[in-house]
Amino acid sequence: MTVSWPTIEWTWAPLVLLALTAVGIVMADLFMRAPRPALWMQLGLLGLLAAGTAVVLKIPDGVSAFNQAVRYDGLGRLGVLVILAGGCLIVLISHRPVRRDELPAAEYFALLLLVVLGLATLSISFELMAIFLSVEMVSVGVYILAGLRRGDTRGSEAAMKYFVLAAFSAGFLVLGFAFLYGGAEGSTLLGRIALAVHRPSTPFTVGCVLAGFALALTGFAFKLTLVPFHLYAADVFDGAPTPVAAVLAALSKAAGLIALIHLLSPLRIVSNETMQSALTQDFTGLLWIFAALSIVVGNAVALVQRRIKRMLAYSTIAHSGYLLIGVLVFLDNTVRMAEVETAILVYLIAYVLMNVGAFGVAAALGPAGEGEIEHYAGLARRSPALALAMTVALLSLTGIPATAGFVGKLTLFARAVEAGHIALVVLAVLGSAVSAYYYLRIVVYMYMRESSTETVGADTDAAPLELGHKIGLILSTAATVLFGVFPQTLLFLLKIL
Amino acid sequence: MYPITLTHYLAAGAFLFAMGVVACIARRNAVGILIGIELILNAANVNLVAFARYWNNLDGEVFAIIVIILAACEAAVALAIIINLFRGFGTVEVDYASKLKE
Repeated sequence: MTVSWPTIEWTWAPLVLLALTAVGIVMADLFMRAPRPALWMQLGLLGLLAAGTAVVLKIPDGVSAFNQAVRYDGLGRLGVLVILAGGCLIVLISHRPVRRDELPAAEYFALLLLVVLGLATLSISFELMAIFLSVEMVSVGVYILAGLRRGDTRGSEAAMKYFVLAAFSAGFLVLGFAFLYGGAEGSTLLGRIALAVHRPSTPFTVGCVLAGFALALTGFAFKLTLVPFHLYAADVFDGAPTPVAAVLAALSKAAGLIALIHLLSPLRIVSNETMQSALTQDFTGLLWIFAALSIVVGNAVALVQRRIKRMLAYSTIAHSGYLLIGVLVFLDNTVRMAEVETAILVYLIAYVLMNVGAFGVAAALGPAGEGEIEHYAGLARRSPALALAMTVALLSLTGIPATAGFVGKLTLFARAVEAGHIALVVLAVLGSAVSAYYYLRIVVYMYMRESSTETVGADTDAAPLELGHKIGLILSTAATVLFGVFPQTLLFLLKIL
Repeated sequence: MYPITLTHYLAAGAFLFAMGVVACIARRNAVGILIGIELILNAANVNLVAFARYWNNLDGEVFAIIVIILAACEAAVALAIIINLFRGFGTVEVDYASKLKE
């Protein structure tokens, strides 16, 4: 008699590893007498790195699991890696805030890991239930993280605002999914929904699919803070702890965008069938409007912000607009799929790196540095390293050559021009030019203004920065410059991973 | 005789959804908003179960159960947030608990 050993399902491994690490941290905390923030941080990093290694070594491109509900396709698999790497950086830049605000470290890092887990599953889900479950895992985690600071009214207000909007949008999302399920003749797999789009059986199912996509798109527009569904972003970013704002700004946008692309993939034009191309054209128009509004409103409102995190919130709204151009290019079939995916990934990597850098510096500077922009006056004199990191992040956000942000914008906009979205690209470039004003204003403050006496007093950066925080900032800054100066390295990395 | 068809269930779902949206927008009390959100999620549940019956397949019912579980999770966390809000501001009216815009 032969004994068959259970084989390890590697496709589950990264997800299970993250979940186990998170649960392990909370359980182990029960047995500790004193709080051990550094230990939980290291454990969290270990879990993220282990999950990343499992993906790189054991999961080849295109593997599916959970009965097709999860698929590591090119975009999703690399997206998971981007999210895990971004998760590592955000764990690192949490070092200072967790210490200073005395956040409950075990709960903080465990929840952060669970949010990253939700984002990772979101970017590989090809089934409606899996997508909804991942979205909720992220939202519920962020509700708690946003209000984790004890006795802080700003935090609890941010948590409340995020809860109302995220739960409201989840309602739209799940109602949309219900209609898609009905339209796909009783299947929740995206592949079956694609069939329903390409070979619709009755006008009724067509109506269901149309309503489903419209409602689901509205839900995603809230998550991606697209104008006109962006109103909560600035308040939430301003009130939540800075690393949590970084998760929302960088990682949740990245995963949300990948999930949106997967969800809309049934609409990608394969031939000029009347039904499908008509449906796609409707949604292309809608996405066009979202993109244009986000670019214009995001950049315009960012100009008048006086608090750093509110400014960064509006800047991410503008960046969502740029990213949406990628989705539009994806829906067109004029550009090859692999090229679109590379362009989107390059942009996402640059976007995650520069946002982590900017939020990381704000987190390092303490409450004053998370507040008014005036506080940055003379920062180059007080702490040149932080000023340098902030400058690199801001130049990259603007899209100045020799930074990753430039490479990302260039590849994405080049593909968009190929696909014929010239008007939108012109708008995006004009928007970037406007954005230079509010990004570079901070650089000018840091290098060309004297610090006033009260800002020096308000600094909490007198104590040397924690090692983890330093490493996080160095990594994100170095990668921003490296990928900007040698874009080949980034393309090489995307190829070998 | 008028048999109850899928359309009736969808209409009921749409009505619940509309009520939920109105509650979320018009209510300024945090608990009222929470109830509105529950209404929206349950509207989706009605649709899911109706479609499951219509296509004679259980996926929709599984989905509805998942939505119910997640709604419970959300409500648990939301009530904690509301209590936290009350501690900080002394009220659960969201208009009064608004300092971030300054």
